[in-house]
Amino acid sequence: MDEFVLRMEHIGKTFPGTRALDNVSIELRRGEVLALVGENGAGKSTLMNVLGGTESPDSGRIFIDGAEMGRYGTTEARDAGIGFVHQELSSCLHMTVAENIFMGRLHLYKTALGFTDYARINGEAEKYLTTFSSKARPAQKMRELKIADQQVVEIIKSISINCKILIFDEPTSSLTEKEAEHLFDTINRLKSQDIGIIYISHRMEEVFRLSDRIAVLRDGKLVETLKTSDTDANGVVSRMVGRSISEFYPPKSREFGPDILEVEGLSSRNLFQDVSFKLRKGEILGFSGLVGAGRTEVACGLCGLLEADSRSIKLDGRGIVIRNYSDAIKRGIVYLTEDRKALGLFLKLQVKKNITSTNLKGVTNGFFISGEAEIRTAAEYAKKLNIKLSSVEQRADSLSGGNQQKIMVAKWLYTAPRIFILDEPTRGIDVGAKSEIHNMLRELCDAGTGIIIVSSELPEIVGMCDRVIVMRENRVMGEVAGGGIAEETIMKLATAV
Amino acid sequence: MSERTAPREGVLRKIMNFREINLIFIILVLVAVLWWLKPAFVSELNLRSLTINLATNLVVVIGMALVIISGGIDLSVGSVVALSSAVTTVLFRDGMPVAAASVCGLLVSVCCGVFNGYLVAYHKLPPFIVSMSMMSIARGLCYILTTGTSISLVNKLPQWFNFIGGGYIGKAPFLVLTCVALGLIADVLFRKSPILRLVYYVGSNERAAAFSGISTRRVKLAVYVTTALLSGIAGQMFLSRFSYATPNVGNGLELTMIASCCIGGVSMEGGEGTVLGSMLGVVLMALITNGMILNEVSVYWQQFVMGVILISAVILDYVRVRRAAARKSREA
Repeated sequence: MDEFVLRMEHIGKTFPGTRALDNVSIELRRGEVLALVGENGAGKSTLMNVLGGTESPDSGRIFIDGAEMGRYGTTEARDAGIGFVHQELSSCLHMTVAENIFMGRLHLYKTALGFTDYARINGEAEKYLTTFSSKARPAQKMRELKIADQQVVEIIKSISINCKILIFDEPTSSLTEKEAEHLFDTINRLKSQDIGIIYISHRMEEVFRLSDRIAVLRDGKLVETLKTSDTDANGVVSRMVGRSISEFYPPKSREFGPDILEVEGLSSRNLFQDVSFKLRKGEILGFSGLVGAGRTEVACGLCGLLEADSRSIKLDGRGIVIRNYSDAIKRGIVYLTEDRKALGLFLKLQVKKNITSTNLKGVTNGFFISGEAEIRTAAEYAKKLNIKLSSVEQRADSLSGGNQQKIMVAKWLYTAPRIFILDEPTRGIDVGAKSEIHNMLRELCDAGTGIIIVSSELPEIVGMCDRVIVMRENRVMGEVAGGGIAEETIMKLATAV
Repeated sequence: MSERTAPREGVLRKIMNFREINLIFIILVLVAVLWWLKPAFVSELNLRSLTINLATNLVVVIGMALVIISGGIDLSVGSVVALSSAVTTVLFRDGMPVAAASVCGLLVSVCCGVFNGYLVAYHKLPPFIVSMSMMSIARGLCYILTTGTSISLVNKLPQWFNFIGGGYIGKAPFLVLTCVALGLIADVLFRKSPILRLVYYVGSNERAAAFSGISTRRVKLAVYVTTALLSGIAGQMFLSRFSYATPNVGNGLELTMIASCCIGGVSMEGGEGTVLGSMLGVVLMALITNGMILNEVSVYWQQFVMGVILISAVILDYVRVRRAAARKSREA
């Protein structure tokens, strides 16, 4: 029998515009925990999607228990014994625990009359629940359980189909400390049953506590697979970020003006606490941190898109109150969302209608929108931002990601903002468009607009920002400025090494 | 990355890109066919009754188009038409001047709209269920008010009020002129007014609208109120034309209106559609019914044919959308 329960060899996967996986090879032993770490976008999810059969690789081979897998989809993956415990759980909340565990296999448990034999599935579910010392009852509805208990049910579901490999994707992100402890016990029990575990996490503490080996991914490539006992958190973090800045960023500011925005003690119930910061004229301020650290929430809270309280917000030295988003927009504080498709654009509408959506008054003449003014305005911004289109009357969804992103930027520029907050301003767009947006932001900043960039991409934060606020778990962990802005310093603050 | 190339500029492009052009063409063909089958089709009498019959629907369909474009639905339009006329009738019968009674009928309609709009916009209840409840509530109120019978005001209403529904300017019925004018004004507003543009934004992507600083709740409330008001106006027109109220006016009207919008190219997912298209949808359906009656097609077949026409329109639209999507994915 093969020493490894899983071998993935030379896996490659290209998406339009990005090389998501480049010749990645990993292997997993029975009863071993392999931690998979890397920055956002390093390729962890893609690799696991390949393993789960939801993404087919362009190249490479997969061996499970020494046998090479041929045609490989979700069904084959499940039959080969691969189980997933997702970050966002995929249970049917209105069904019972037992029904969830035996989902898709209920027809195998029938009474003589052909009805589902609930006595039997509940009995079997009960056995599993006892083994995992779960307090959940088989006939309970899933929605009555806490997230941690739902997670256990998900684990049981995989175990009950004899899985050999179990993948955990950020399993502790919504657990309390005590619940996490319980999960670690469960994982150790699975280890002792010879199940191979792949554990994805941003939290170094967990990674070092649980794993036997650590595979570090960066930009779709496997940097190194380390034995956990041979390294420490610093070693891992430096491998995660150690990348040369290949992109060209505009020069940073040398002179800063007075404070244009002062935020004191911004809090929002469970989302973030006591965030204070200042933004000076001519400065680009960055918000860094891992996904889920609370950066987006702070930006939305400031703009009135989320309910938030603050001790004070001063714009150009004068106190202001923001109750909802239109208040913020009237004051010139605008927010460009990270979710282009769901929140940013009207994909089915024409480009011109997208651009003018934030400021219809600008193209209204008397009672009516002037068709001519709308086209002229849209064309002007398309030219200014170098948006590649054949007509401003095209639908927004006919454009590429980079050009769509520029349309979002255009629609906010059209309001002539005082403070422009950009959440992931260059996510998923090609290098050329990225660099154009970066240069445009620096020009805006030099012209006096306050710019705040929220980004998960460290090179972008390091390359663009004059000062960076680092958040972790809904709190501000620190601030770095000028020459102190480096990927390692920020990553350390963000992961609390 | 290739972008879709836009068609050539020019007047011809404008006409061909005009989505309603297909529908206008179909209507013209249908008129020609009906004329050829039954020359009586173009008689003054038939044309007059045809246009008067469909006129009030032109007003209701504006509201239906509005609410569907906003991403919602309003099943209560038919009941509100009935309630509006019933309220006015009862109040007038009990001694109120007709102008005041008419305003009260409209106010009650607006209340129905506020009910729908408030629950949909501010409590995020599903519009289908909310307006279906309103449909039943309004219809129930009609029965309660009229005690289930028709109330006749024949020869009691002042002449000016009857003129709205029954008067003529030259040979043209005043009602038809009014309704067509209302529809055309609405069509221009839908294309040009910044406030109505907000409805398209909300219907196209409600969350993106909120993230663009549009107060989506206020827009939606206004949409349902306007739709109900338009139904109320149609109710007044009905009363003016027939001088009686009957509790089952407008039964099933909501379905005809939704079908007309659908035929007229209003996207059932919201964000897309025109008043002109929806009005042409009303005309097309009326023509088909009229044609069947003139050609003595059995009444039993009429509903069947309507269903076939509707599903054909939906399938054609689906094919069009899917082709466009396929073309896009090929280019990407």
